[in-house]
Amino acid sequence: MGITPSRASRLARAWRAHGVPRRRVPDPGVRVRRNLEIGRIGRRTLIPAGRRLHSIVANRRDSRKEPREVGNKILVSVFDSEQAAFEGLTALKEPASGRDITLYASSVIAKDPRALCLSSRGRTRDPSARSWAWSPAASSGCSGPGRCRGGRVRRRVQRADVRPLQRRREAWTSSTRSRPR
Amino acid sequence: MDFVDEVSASLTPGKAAVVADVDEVWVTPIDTRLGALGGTTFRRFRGEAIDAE
Repeated sequence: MGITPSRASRLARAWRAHGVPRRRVPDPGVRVRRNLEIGRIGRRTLIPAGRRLHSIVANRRDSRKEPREVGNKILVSVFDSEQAAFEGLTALKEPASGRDITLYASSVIAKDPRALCLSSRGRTRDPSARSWAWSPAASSGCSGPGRCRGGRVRRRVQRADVRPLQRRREAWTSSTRSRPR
Repeated sequence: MDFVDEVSASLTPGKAAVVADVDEVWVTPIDTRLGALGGTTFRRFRGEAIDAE
């Protein structure tokens, strides 16, 4: 129940009579947040921007409009040979595939007859996505009976993930630039 | 069977696999394309894979 005009004027008169500091009484016909921008918390439009809800300050960012850095699925396709795997990777990277999927990171792993696994990482724009593709590559290819370097690499990736994203990006950019062609 | 176990069972010595982090809605085009090249495709939602680890 809002403040009606008659009640507002009564209140204003009472405040003036009793020496209460004058306070602006909002016009009940006007919405208070007319001139305020509506903020978002996550995907929800909740409260005016800048206002607090519990300990969260609403902002105007919309996560739906921000580019994603990782995909929603891990895809593993097993081929009989490395040549076939390479062709499969090429097929995934084809522009025609871009309409059906978005490829964030890719890697080819191979298990040799001695049950050792070899892998080659694909280049991606985002280091966290690359490390994610690397992690299942190491785990899925190396969880068989044979021992390989998978565990060591996974631990290294986990340590790298602790760093802030900005530092990871900088390190990745510098390593890419310094890499000999 | 766990996702990693499934892949490990399929990835016998001498074979190779493509591991990718993708965003897809319709699985048929990729299955068809990779199936034509002789690939067996496994998928798992990222969240499920993280939970399993």
